[in-house]
Amino acid sequence: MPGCRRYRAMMAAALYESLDTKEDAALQSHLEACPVCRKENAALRQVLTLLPEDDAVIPWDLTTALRARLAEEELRPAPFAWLPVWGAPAFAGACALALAFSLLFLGPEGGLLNGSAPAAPPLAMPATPAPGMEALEEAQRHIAANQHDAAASVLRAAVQTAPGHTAAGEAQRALAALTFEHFRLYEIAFHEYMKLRNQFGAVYREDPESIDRFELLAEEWENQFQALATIDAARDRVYADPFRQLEHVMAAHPGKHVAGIALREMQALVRNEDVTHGDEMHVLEAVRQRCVDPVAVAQVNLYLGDLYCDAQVNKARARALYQEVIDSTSPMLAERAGHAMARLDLTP
Amino acid sequence: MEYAAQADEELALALKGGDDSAFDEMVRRYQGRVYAVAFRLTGNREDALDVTQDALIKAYRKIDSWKPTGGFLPWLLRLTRNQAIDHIRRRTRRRHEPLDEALQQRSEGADIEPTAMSTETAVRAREIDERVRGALVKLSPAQSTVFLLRHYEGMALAEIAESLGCTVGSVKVHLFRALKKLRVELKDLYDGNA
Repeated sequence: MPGCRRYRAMMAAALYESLDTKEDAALQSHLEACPVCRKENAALRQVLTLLPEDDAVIPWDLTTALRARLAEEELRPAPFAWLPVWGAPAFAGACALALAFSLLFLGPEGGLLNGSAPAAPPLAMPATPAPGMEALEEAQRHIAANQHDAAASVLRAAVQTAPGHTAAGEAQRALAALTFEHFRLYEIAFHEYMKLRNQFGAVYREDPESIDRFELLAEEWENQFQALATIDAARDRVYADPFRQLEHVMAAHPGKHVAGIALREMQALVRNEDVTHGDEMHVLEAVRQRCVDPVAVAQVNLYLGDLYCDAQVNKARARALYQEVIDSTSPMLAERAGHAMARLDLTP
Repeated sequence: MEYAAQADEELALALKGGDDSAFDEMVRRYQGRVYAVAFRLTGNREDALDVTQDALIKAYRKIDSWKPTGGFLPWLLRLTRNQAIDHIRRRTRRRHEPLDEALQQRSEGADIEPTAMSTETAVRAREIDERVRGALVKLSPAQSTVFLLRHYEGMALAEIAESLGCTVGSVKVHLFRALKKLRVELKDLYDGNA
């Protein structure tokens, strides 16, 4: 119908807000008269029902990370903006060295090329290691002597006093690892790995362990790291039945990084109890036998099925395990098992 | 200076005037909404966090391009949308796949919480989520800005018009076109046809 265009804009507005009385009356009158617009209106309402809730919540405060990133960008003066942070001073130093070399050997008087007396040798590079590397070596000595607090102090100082130095990224990585592995201060470790990721991206991206730990800590941050605390207590034999506590972690966090850590601890427990278990498959089968929670069993089945697949042995066993997961009560694990089964079917 | 009580545009003016301390308040106030838009467009937490950081840094660096005659939030969300699309394009080039397929990329499992839904329902919910994300990226800048501000930010149409410096009628037209484009992109997901 002519004039439908103006009513379509009203239709869209009416989905969200009340129109004024005059507009509303005009729209309703048009919808009664125009089947095309009536159908369009119904279709637009249907689209809204499809749109999911916007429930994404930012997992942590970015203020500190953004400040650090801005500060890092300030360390690179504009002419050297294409260099990494540590490169600007090094590049400038190299230019100065080249200039000194050319003046000494190829200067206005010709230098050596003209047969004159030999000039002084070029500037010698420093024989002692750079401060950042010294700090890393000192920290290693402290760790070897079980002086972990001293090691952390040295590493922190190395990062703070020479943030642009090439070794600062390694010092930050070592500090994050120390905080995670030895001190088990997971909230602080989370911030240290975040600093590594934001300020020393090249070091972070080259280290799979740092990437895994950051992802683990980012997941666990939302749960105040409780699952990691449970795993630590199980590892330290605080519980009468540590295996069962670890199984609870797996059941409560299916498919998460922390479930993988809990499973590794369960394997270590089983292996310690009976050293005759042999290879990883036998150990995992023993873990599977001991588990009672269906979600935990489903996860062990998934790991075990992947092991059999990767080793290309006993495909029938892998298929049976995946099928158990598909039939389990966890939709997410069932979906993963479905994909794994499909891949299995494609392999010769 | 205490910025928490200041209106959005006053905060932006302070930043525009070279007051760096206003940046912390800007991050605190907007990081959640920027992240929500980034997540809606990229579909996973890692990319959304990268886009959020890039967008807020860019807002800081390009604050001179914001005009006080327009609202600050619409400007920021437009910037976020552009950053998200650039990010998706870079991700596409790294993976050597067409942009459409990148937009349909499944989210990492860590972003999906296990629920009591059946497998079929969970798979369908994820499919719809991916299709909506792909459809949103295809909206024009004006359409996506109006749609995001109305549907997700809950801003009144008159408020959006004032922020964008246009008439309420224009906002309604952009909104209709956005919804119509979404309807076309998602038509096979529901039974109605128009």
